[in-house]
Parts: sequence; structure tokens; C-alpha cells
Amino acid sequence: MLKIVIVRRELGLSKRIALSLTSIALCLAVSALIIYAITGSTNVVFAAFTSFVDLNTLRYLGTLTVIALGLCIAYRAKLWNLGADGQLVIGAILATWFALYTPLCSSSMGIVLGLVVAALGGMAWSFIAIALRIWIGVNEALATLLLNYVAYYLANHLVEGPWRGVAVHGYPETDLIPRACWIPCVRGYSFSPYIVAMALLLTVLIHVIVKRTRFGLAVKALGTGEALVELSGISAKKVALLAFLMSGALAGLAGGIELFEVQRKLILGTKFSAGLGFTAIIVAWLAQLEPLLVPLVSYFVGALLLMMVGIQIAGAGVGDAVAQVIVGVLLVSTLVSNFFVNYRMKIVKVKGVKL
Amino acid sequence: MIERFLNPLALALTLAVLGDVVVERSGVLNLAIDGLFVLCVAVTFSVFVATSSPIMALIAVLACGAVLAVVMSMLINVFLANHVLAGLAMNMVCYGIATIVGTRFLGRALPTSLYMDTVTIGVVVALSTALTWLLLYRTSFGVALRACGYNPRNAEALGIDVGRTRLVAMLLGYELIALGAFVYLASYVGTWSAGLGTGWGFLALSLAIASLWHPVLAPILATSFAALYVSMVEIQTHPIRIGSVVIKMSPAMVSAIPFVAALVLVSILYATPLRRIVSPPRALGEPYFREERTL
Amino acid sequence: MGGSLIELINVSKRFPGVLALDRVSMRIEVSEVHALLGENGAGKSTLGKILFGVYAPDEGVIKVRGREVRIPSPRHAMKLGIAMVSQRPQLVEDLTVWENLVLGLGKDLRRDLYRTIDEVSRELGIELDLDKPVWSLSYTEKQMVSLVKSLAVNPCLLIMDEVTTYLPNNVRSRLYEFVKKFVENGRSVLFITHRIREALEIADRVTVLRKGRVVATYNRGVDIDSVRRAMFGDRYWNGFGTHEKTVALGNMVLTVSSLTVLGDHGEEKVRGVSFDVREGEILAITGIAGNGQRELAEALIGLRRVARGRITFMGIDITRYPPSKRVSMGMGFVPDDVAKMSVSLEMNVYENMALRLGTTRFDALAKVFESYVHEIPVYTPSPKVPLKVLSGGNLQKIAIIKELASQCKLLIACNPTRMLDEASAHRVRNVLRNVAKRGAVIVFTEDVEEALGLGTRIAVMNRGTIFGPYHREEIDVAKIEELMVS
Ligand SMILES: Nc1ncnc2c1ncn2[C@@H]1O[C@H](COP(=O)(O)OP(=O)(O)O)[C@@H](O)[C@H]1O
Ligand SMILES: [Mg+2]
Repeated sequence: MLKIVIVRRELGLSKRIALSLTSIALCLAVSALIIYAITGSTNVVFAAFTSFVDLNTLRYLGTLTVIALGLCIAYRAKLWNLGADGQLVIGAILATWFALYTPLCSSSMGIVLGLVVAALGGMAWSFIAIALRIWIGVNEALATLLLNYVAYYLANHLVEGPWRGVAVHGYPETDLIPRACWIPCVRGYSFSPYIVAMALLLTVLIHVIVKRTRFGLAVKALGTGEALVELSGISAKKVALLAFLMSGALAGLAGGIELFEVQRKLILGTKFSAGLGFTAIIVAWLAQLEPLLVPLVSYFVGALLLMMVGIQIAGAGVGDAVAQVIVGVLLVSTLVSNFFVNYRMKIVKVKGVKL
Repeated sequence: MIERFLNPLALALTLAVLGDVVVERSGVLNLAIDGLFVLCVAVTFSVFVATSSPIMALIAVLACGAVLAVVMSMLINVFLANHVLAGLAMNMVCYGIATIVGTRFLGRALPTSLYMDTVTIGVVVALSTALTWLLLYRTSFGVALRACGYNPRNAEALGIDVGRTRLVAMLLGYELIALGAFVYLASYVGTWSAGLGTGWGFLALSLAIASLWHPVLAPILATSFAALYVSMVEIQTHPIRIGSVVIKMSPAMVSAIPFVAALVLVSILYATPLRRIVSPPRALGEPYFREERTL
Repeated sequence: MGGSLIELINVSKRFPGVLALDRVSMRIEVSEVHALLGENGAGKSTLGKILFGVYAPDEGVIKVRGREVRIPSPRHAMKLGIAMVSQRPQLVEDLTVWENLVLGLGKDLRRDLYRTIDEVSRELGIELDLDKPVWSLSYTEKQMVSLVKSLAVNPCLLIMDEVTTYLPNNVRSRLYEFVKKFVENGRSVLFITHRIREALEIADRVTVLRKGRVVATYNRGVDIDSVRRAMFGDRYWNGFGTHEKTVALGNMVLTVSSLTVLGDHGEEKVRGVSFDVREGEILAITGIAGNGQRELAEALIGLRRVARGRITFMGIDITRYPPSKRVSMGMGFVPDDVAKMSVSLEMNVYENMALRLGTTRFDALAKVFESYVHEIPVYTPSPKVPLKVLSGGNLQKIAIIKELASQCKLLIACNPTRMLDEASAHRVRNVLRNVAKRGAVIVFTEDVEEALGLGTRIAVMNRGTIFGPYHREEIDVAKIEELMVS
């Protein structure tokens, strides 16, 4: 009989990098195969891979980086915020309200104010989950997952009812937000340099917070256990609250960005978020929860997403679904390669001895 | 009144909750349940439409559950993956595959709808509950399964093969969940659109948590929940009046209610000392590596 | 004796940062009690766990009755006839005694279970209620369940890893008798211990392990000094050190009155305990593990809620304060399990210090750390590596250094020397004495001699109540042991 035995190992840096690259290469190969299987054309496959050198990928880099940075903080504390998608939608809802129903967005700081409102929205939404976790003990992974749906349906309710636009011919959408609230994109592309710059600045900021402050250390310590934080003289509740709210705020901010930079109107919840909140979870883990790696990984994953948009246009009709599969496979392969970084698998032959 | 509780949705939900109880009692955090449910719904639909045979659909959906159980069990027991991440990854893959599979038959109707009367539903609910309870609390496999959920390390030292026990638990549980998805599509919804069933897996998971992972509380909660949901859908079409107040809700709000209700339910159960009564699977969601340093 | 039962040839096992077993070769013969002796961290448990299929060896060969075998899991070990009882009972607490016993047993083995239960009850003089959940049992009862379980698989080799440490004296001596009888009909025992006397008393042969290597194997009748030299090398060792003259006591630091604390299952683990501690004092609290020490310690630092009673620290009622607030007021805590509560294995030494001391100026922290390493030597490849590569003993030392550097007024330490070799333990005890000069110390220890050597006052915990505290002069080992089991 064969048995699998698993033991720890320590791998050198070069081997770890080699392993990560192998898993990424494998994943790309799988993606290529899937695209080929669906479209049946090698040309489409090659065309799809040009997304890696397409500047439009920067549109995803901005959003994914912002969300994933927040998630890095929460996950370092082993707080499972799986609700970035919902927090993003709530951020977008508040930003829409700000743009359509207040006069503030034509002021000079209008867009900044709108983004702040969006961040506050995401933060408030994440507060529900972390409050239930801290004071009642409800699993925050479950709570955030459920709250995602509430957020989607809230958006649906608004765009199907009270906020449905007058110029949209019955589509479940709001009107376009005023031009003053648009974040301008580079001509001919769909990304804004301001957002990319902001994402990179945030990256540095979060890196410093995580690595160079006592709060950052406490966040990591919370991942070991609440007792460790408490015994260090820091309130574990406060650390958990702050870490989680930061992740919620950044997801909300991303919702504002999506609205002002890309969508420019509120649409149905799941359509608006397009699963970016979930994709960002994968970005955070691919980046090993290291803030400085987040923009890099965001670019890579963003290119995959863009590739799928291309295929969608090529007419397969299920581009989003394929993207989901590929991003999921990417996460699976990361999990497996992480295993091989830390463990060795031995297959041993056991003889059926009975004494 | 009783048919309100024993509707097809209640049966689907009960099966899914019981399946989740079996899986989580063995210590595996089962976030993949949502993807599993959605995929099984799509598989039921496609195979039913393609073959016009409910039996073929049933076989296909069970096979789908078994495959996913094996894959998840590999990720969690062999590759020691984080339960949350593994579940999330499986969900994404399953959602995607479900859309791809279902879209080929989009717009087609089921050849027949599987009608189930109240008595049948009642019998199946009672039977599946009783069998799950017997399995968990009256067989030696059930003791082993729960031991893996309480403390896999010590269970192993007592002579249990944790990996194998969890694999069997996941196979059994996933088949129950797959059955739930089958009933959901074939007897309750009857038609398919992209993303159908999304969120119902998480609802089943919440109900399992709220029932403290106990197979006898599970169907009580599941059927009450289904009754509530069906009533809400009715309110949507027939607004009720209390005095001069008209209670009317948009379809989106009705859809949101189960999720709010599930969250409230779990919170209430956690806030009360009720949860001390049944000992929970303490090792739920902890990756188990035999050579970990211990005190 | 009838030839070799188990043979290990060049078995090695490496954990991150330590070579726990270094080409170990040894033989266990049929019908012998073979003691495995070594100080803490020598690799004894690692060896036992390899034989029981918990750890997979990196290299080497294991033979059972001359046939080479692989032991990939405890289940396989049991099938091969190898069973193990550990210091900490390895039972599933939420299940009943009976469920624990039948777990994983085939039908044929279950039939003999009642006979085994009767036999063990008779030999050790303890009755078992099979329908009780295991969490409600006392430590001794749990150990008995473990023993019955391992006998139920009809083992030819029984591994006992430090099983006697926490047993009351009468049970301990009955267990010795049991072991001697057990090996009479062709079965063997691997008796793991760090106590030389115990090994010499019970064993037919003794193998001494030091730093993962076999240093010697002796037959019965060897003199204790050569064994001690083999165990510790040439290191000078003078036990528990000496006391200074009684220090003048200062202000009241901590007052505990009628404290009742609940355990994990809602049972009363600490019952109406009262005592106080003044500046200049070391209060040593001893007792058999599981008599409420852990719960009391956690209640003192705030990790566990107090059901009834009051805790006053420096004149302030802190009964409802969270641990973080108590720590900022000047309490320090070294838990039992430092790797879970006191240090983060993912961070390096300086980051761990920064977390506790509240400054992220790593150069300053390095200086602080250096100054303490003179008192308590810590072996790290570099202070910049994450702590997960360090051995348990070094983690313990870092946890203690962190608390010392925080200049706390009251230090509560739970078994602070358990993971340490004698030389390090000696230094840690001295450091604790120094802490008492500027504050107060409460030490929880399961080692009676340590309690006597370290405490200016000594208290004994037994089933949640506390005896004492007594002044050192009022009490001796015999009296303490009597209180521990009464
Ligand atoms: N599971 C483990 N992971 C990492 N290190 C371990 C593990 N088990 C033991 N060690 C280390 O191996 C060494 C030997 O430990 P052990 O066999 O428990 O010693 P003993 O039982 O003789 O006190 C120690 O340095 C200990 O820290
Ligand atoms: Mg040991």
C-alpha cells in the first residue's frame, strides 16, 4: 500500500522564486488551453496574450491595488474580509449619491470628497462584520460573504427603483454622473494616471504602516493570536477593528474609483463590481501579503482580466465565466505551490505487517 | 400551514444544511459549498435538458459532488491549504464552470418538473435528518468523524486516519448538498439563468452554523427559513395591508432578506448562551499538519 | 531476553533550525524496560513519536523483529504493535471515555476492552466511569484512559513519554509495578524520562540522549554519576541555586480575594482562592498540572474572565480590566505556551521586542537585547531571522527577556524553565530573583523542588483550591507532595 507522508522543509530563496514562476507559467498554459478550447483559434490565443503589454491593464492595476492593499492588512491579522466586493458596491452607491444628489461634486475638491464618501461607505459596511466578530464572535468570513449579497441587492433595488435614470430607456441603471465628477482618462485609453499614481502612493504608505509602525507589528501579531497582542499591552479589539476598517475603507474607495473613472453610473450590483473584490483577494495572496508586491501582481492579474474582455468581444459569450475559472485556477495553483515551498511530500510503501 | 414549511425549497435547503453539517463536523470549513451548489444546479439543468431524464441528471449531479469532494479534500488534507482560500478558489472555478455549462442550454425549459407533494417532502426531510443523526451519533464512523472536528491531532493518536475520515465525510456531505441542488432546480425553480443558486450555499452554511452543527436543529431552521422566504415572495406579488400601511417590497429587497435574516439568526445564536449546549467542532478551519510543534 | 524487538539504525530528524535526532541507533529487546534518558530538548519525544508514526524520519531505518518497516501514521504503528502514552493525555476531550477507547479499534479488539479496563483499574487502583466526557476527568484518570487505550491494541512495544511527571506518588509507584509486570510475557516498554533516578530504578537498560545523539547505553546497576555526566556533559550543575537572605518586603502589589474562575467547559477550575503578593517577594504556586493553575494564571493577567471575587493591583481593582490594560499598568506574563501567546514566530527578535516595548527604533532595541543576552544566553543564527527557526527553549528565553526589558512591576511566569536545560534554567531562576528586588514575581511551576528553591513563599493548588502560601521554612517536599494529592 502507498501512503503519503508530509514533512516540513526550508527552501532557499532562488528555489522559492523558481517554484512561484513555475506555478504562474502553468496557470498561463492552462488559460491558453481554455481559450483555445472555447474559441478554437490559436490567433485568438496570441491576440489575448497581448494584454500583458496593453496600457489599458493599468485600469485594473489601480482598482485591484487599492483593494488588495487593504486586504493585505486584514489578512495579515488573519481577519477574513471576504466582503471587499460588497464594500466596493456600497462605496459606489454612496459615491453615486454624492455625484447625483448633492451639489458638492462641482466644487473644487469635489472628486476627492466623493472618494472620501465612498471610502467611508465601505468602512461602515465592513464595520458590521467586524463588530459582530469582536463583540459576538460571529465568523467574519461568513458575515462578509452574506453582506456582499445585501450590498448587491441594495444596488439593484436602487437602480431598478428610486434611482433609475430618466435617460436610460428602462435599463436598470442610473443616469450618468455629472462631468465634474469624471476622473479624466488618458486619451484613447481607459485609465487615469492620477489613479495609478494614487495606487502607487498608497502602496508605499501601507508598506510603511505594515513594516515600520507598532500598529503594523500588532496587526501581524494578531495573526498569531489575540493573546499575543493583549500581552504586549495593546488592545487586540482596537487593532482588529482598525485593520478591518482600513480594508473596508480601501475597498469602498475602489468603488468610488470605479464609478468616477470607469463606469460613471451605477448599474446592477454584481455587474458593477464584476467580481473585482474577489479577484483582489487572490492578488493579495499572490503578493504574499507584501504591499510592495501588490501593484506588480495587480498588473499581472489585470492583464488576465483584460484578456478575457478581449475574448468576450471575440464572441464567445462567456468571457467573464472563463475569467473566473482562470483566476480561480490561479489561486489553486498558488495554494499548491505554497505547499511545495514549505513542505515535502514523500510517498512511502507500507507493507501490511501484522504482528 | 404545514405545506408552507414543507415546500420543495425547504427540502433543498434541509439537504444542503445537513450536508454541510456532516462536512463541518469533521473540521473542514466548507466555504466551497456555494460554488458546489451553483455548479450542481447548472449540471442538473443541463443534463436534464440534454437527456430529458431526471435519473441521468441525478447521476450527473452526484458525480459532480463526488469529484468536487475529492478535489477539495486533496487541497485541504494533502496540500494543507488554508480552508478559507481553498473554498474561495473552488467557488470561483465552480461559478465559472456553471455559467459555461449552463449557457449552452440557456433559454430551454425542463422537459418535466419534478413535482413533490407535502407528504413526500416531509418523509424525505425526516428520513435524511434521522439518517444524518444516526450516522454522526450512533455509528463508530460518526464518532471518528466528530473526533476529527474536535481535535484531529489527538484523534490521530487514538488510531484514526484523519485524512481518510475527512474524505469520506466530504464525499457524504457533498452528495447531500448536490442532492439539495438537484431538488432546488428540478422541483423548486424549474428553469435556469446564469448565476442561479448563488448565495444559497452560503445561506445553508449560515443555517448550519446557527443550528450549532446539530443534525436535529438543522432541518427545523431550514424549513422555517424556507417558509419565511416563500412568504416574502408572496408579499412581493400580493402586498399586505396592516391598517392603512401597505407593506410592499421591491424584488431586490425580497432577495436580500434571506441574507439579512441569516446574519441576524447567526448573531442571535452566538449572543445567547445556547451555543454552550452542543459542543462545536473546535478545530473547524484549522489546517492540520501532523508534525506541527506542540506544547 | 529474546532478541531484538525494535531496532533503529542511523535515524535522523531535522526540524527548522534544529537537528532533533542525529544518526540515532539503538535497540530495544524483547521483554525489557528500556529507559530513554536525556534533558529537555534532547530529542526523546521526537524519537518516541517517530516510532509511533507521528513524525517521519529524514533518514535511517527502523526494524521491527528484524524486518524493515515504514510507520506513516499512529494507526500503522498500532497495527505494528506499537502504542504510546504521552505526558499530556492525547484524548478527544469532547467525547466520552468509552468513545475515546473504541475510536479506531476494530471489532475484535473491542471485545477485550472491558478486561483491559478491569485490569488497569485493579493495578492502578482507580475506577473509570465510561460515560463521562473526558474533559470532566482528573489528570490521573485521563492518563489511565490513555493507558487503557494503548493496551487495547495489544502492543508489543509500549512507549511511555514522561508519563509519571504529574502523577501522585501512590499511582506512580503502582505504575512502576505495572510496567515491570507488563514486560514479563515478551512485551517491551520504552520508558522516556528526564529523571535519572526513575530511569535507574525501573529500567533493564538505559540509553542516554544528548542534543539528538546517543551518548551511551548502560545495563542495570550503573552508578548514577556516570549517567549524569553522560546526560549533561562536563557542565557544572548545582541544582536550584541558593537564596539570598530574606529581603525586606515592600508595598502590596497584588491582592486576590475569593477568586472563582471557570474552565473551558464551564466547570469551576479555581474555587475561592485568596492570597497577596508584596514587593520583594517570589510566590511559587505548585501542584499537579490541571488543578487550576492555568486558569488562575490566565485570570490574574486577564485572559480569562473572573466568575466571582476580586483582583487588586497596586491598589486598583483590575478584576474587569482586559490584559492589555493590566500590561500597560505594569504586569508582565510569561505563558505556558510561549509560541502561541508570547512571541510571534513570523517576526524576528527585534520586531518581537518592538511589539512589547512600543518603540520601533530597532537599533536601540538591539542594544537592549544584547544587554540581556549576557544574563540569559540565546542562540540565534542571527537576530534578523524569524523566530520559527529557533528551538523551544530559545523561544522561552526570548519571551522572558521581553518581559524583563519591559521593567514590569509584577511578573507572572508559568513553568518558565520547563523547556530549558539545567544551565539555562539556573540562570533564569537567578534573573527572576533579581526581578523580585524591584517588584514581585509569581511563578507557577509543576516542579516541587523548583518551587522550594525559588519561592520566598510557596502555595499548593489542588482541585482549584489553594493551600498556603507558606513561608519556605514552614514547608518541605514531603509536605507539598502530600498537599498536592490530598
Ligand atoms: N514539531 C516540531 N517542530 C519543530 N521543532 C520541534 C518539534 N518537535 C520538537 N522540536 C524541537 O526538537 C528538539 C527536540 O525536542 P523533543 O524531542 O521534544 O525533546 P525532549 O522530548 O527530549 O525534551 C527541541 O529543540 C524542540 O524544540
Ligand atoms: Mg519530551
